[in-house]
Amino acid sequence: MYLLKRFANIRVAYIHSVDICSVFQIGDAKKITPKTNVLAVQRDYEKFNTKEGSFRSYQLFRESIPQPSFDEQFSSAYSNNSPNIYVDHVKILGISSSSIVNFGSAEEICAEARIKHIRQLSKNVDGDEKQR
Amino acid sequence: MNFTVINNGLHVGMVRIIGVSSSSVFLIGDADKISLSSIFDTPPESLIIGPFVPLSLD
Repeated sequence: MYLLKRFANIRVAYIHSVDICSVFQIGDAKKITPKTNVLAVQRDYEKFNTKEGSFRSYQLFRESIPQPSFDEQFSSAYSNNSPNIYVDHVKILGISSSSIVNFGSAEEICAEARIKHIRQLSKNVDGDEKQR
Repeated sequence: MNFTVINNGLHVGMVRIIGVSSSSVFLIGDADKISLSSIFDTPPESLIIGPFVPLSLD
């Protein structure tokens, strides 16, 4: 598949934060492949051990994700009547977890994010002293 | 399958986005291949109510 790439003309861009394995790309890219593993632990009280948790112990970090095949045969025709894309103003609050903001063209983008959420609450919810 | 794309002139005034997250793409331009995958897991057993137990190391 061959696609004649267009020019991206952006006048103003404002991005507040670029987080966890994300890409803000100005210009053309050949291949962008960010991959993230996240263990998101929310606790009722502040307690953090520097040595705890392991990606291996959760199945979602080990299993393989089925990918689409790109070698499917089909006939395609592209006609770019205008070689330009104009955007006056872009405002983004945040990009996170293997995300991509790309001004320009890309040949291949292949992103992957695996997020495991765990919430730990203390037993006494009625305002008694929390168990530690 | 026949697939025809005609790109005429494009002028966008303003784009406002709160968040792009969990392997998503915001692209101004053209791309050949895009493949995005994301697994998000919050099963019932991930809600632990009780005494504090550190997460296992293996």
